[in-house]
This record gives sequence, structure tokens and C-alpha cells, in this order.
Amino acid sequence: MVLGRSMKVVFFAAVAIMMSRGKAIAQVLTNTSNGVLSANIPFGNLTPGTSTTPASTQVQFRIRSNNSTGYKILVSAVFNVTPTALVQGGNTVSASDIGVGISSIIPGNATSSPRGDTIAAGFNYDPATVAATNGMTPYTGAALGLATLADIVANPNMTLLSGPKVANNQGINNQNNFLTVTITFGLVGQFFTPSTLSGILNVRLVDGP
Amino acid sequence: MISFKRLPILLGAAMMMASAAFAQTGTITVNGNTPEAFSLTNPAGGALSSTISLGVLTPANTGTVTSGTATVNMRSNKAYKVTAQSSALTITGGGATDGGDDIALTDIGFAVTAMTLTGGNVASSGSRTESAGAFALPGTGWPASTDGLTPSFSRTLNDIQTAQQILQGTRISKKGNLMTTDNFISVTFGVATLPQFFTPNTNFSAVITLTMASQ
Repeated sequence: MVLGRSMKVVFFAAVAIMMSRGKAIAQVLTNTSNGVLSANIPFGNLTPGTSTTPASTQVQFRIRSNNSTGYKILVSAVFNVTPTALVQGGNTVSASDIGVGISSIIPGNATSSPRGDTIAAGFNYDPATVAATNGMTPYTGAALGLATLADIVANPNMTLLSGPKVANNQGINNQNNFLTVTITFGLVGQFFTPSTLSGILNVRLVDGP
Repeated sequence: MISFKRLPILLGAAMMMASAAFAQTGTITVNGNTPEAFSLTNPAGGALSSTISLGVLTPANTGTVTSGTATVNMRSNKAYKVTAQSSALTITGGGATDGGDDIALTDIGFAVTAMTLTGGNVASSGSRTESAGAFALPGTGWPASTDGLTPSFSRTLNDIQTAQQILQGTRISKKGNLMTTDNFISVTFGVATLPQFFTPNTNFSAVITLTMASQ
């Protein structure tokens, strides 16, 4: 096997680039089927009722990272609401009415331990379990321990979760080398202005710390 | 000898595939729908099923009617209207008519007698203007009889044998649900009749069905 001088330059440059890119993909963020994380989780029809239990919905995703400096989950969000009736002095649902929390982190059997994963202040709770004792939004915001989507909207690229190296490899064929993270959203159906709403959470996995 | 003429192309393709196979970003979309919502409950927040008992209607030497009321809590996130419809009058234990008159729907006045329109989470609290039209009881109260016969009620149950709009207004609730204690208005509905020498009976009744909907 003989390489010409120009071929050698191209070859080593390409290897260098791949190594560089290889480092960049030390993390892998997927859904629970190891596919692209692109979840659509509906609250459905938020008819006001008599229950103290918020409507809730959740999404799970997997984090793989073999980066020695660990990982970070950065999030940004946008919130859109489209009223379908006049406001007439009432309130329209807003991002601050939607509770957001990391309700569980489950490490796979082949993950590094001990774990020291850190959830951003105010996001370490399960919005589905917060009682709406007066029939209104019970989420008080991250500063008071019950974060909402508004906290993310107001802080683009905030670090939602961080931690040390997840496992020694990030191969997606391995079924034990990831963290399964559950994010739960909660919202109390109320006499808000009739509307449709959507919140889009952009999630990014990068090297830590 | 292995040819490396296409090596750069292969490496480039490999890098692109590697890049495409391992995404580090994701998107989570949460969506929902706040529907139009209207609610009629009793003052305790339960299902609306009230009975107004007029008691024993013994005729007397007075023009004052006998009346009763039922209060309803109303919530909405949109301009609303309330319609009422009365069933036919059911008379049980009726005696012989002997050429006299039985009590009838036309003898029973029906009106909105009072409204409480304020609350911390009531829209436009303090400046609401619900409209009951001819179903609003005038400030002077129920009309009195001047001749011992049924007085001139503005509206009677006979007027709502077919569903009639009796009340309308703008959005009531700012937010909150059915547990919330300050996001509703209270409307009191009344019925009244003058005790007369109608044909005796042991009981009479009519069911008034209230329906709240979007304007």
C-alpha cells in the first residue's frame, strides 16, 4: 500500500477532523428508542374541574456521554398561545402556569458511579404531585422551588441538568450506558381565555462541566 | 496495491454519516387546548339541583305573594347566556275542579331576584352589567295583588315553556377552576305565587332547566 505525499496530507487531515468530531460526539441524546429526541406531548383538553390534581404529561430521554469532564443539558424554550375568544378582563394561560420539573433520573447498570447529577435549582420536583388547593396554578417559579416554563423562557440555554461522565462509552447499541431522564409538565385546567397553547423545549447535550 | 484515489470522498462520507447518526439536540413540544367553559353549580360547588318549596298555599286576606329562591354560582371564560325552560305543571292529589281553576304556570312568577357580581377573580369585578331584561325583578320586588288574584308578573313559568334566554353577560371568571372561591358570580332565581282558592291539591311541581352557553 503506497500513498502519495498529497494523499497522506489528505488522509491525516481527515483523521484529525474525525478525531476532533469524535470528541464532539462524546455525548448522545436520544429518545427511549435511541432515535432522535423529537417528542410531542399533549395536555389535551384542559377543561376546568374540581380536582386538586394538575393535568400532567411527561417525556423521557436518554443521555449517553463518555466525556471525562461530564455533561450538561442546556435548555431553551418558547411559548405560544393563541386565544380563540376575547380576553374580556380575564387571564390567558401563560408559560408561568406550566410547571416543569425533572421527576426522575435513572442510571443504567453500566453507568459510572457514584453519580453526582445536579438538577437546576427549582426544577427538582414532580409537577404532577403538586396540589392546586385553590383551583389555581400552584407553581411558584424556580426561585421558590417550583419551576415553570417561564423560567426557561427567561433564561435561554440554562443548564437544566449536569453531571459527571455517564459511562465509559456512548454507543447507542448498549442498553445500560445511559441515564434515563424524565421531565414532567403540569398544568391546572382553569377558566383561562379559550385558546390553544404550545411550549417548545429545545434540549442540547454538551460537554461538562 | 490498494487505490486511495477515492479516500477523501470515503472519509468525507464517513464523517457526514457519523455526524448524522449522533444528534445532541432534541425538541420537546407540549401543547394543549383551553376550551370554552361554562359552569352552573349550587352555592356549595356541587351539581345544580335545587328545590324551591312554596309550602302550603292557604288563601288569605292579603295581596302579598308567597315566594322562594334558589341561588346558582356561575363561571365562564367567555361571554355567556343562560336559558330557562319550564316543564309542564304536574299536579298531584287534585280535588274536583267543580268549575273552578287549577293553579297554572301563568300563576307562578319567575324572575332573577338578585346577583352578586364581585370577586377577586371575577372579570370586570365591580363593573359588571348582567342583563336579565324582562326577567329581572324590579327594585320594588314582586308585584302585590290588588284584587286577590294573580298579580301582573313580568314573566311567569308559562313564558319559559319553551327555552328562553333569561340572562346574559360578559366573561365571568379570570382563571381558576370549580374549586376556586372567588371566580364566580351568584345569581338568585325566584318564583312567586299568590295563594288563592285554586282547586285543592296535595302537591304541584314544575322543573326549571337552566342552560348556560356561549353567546
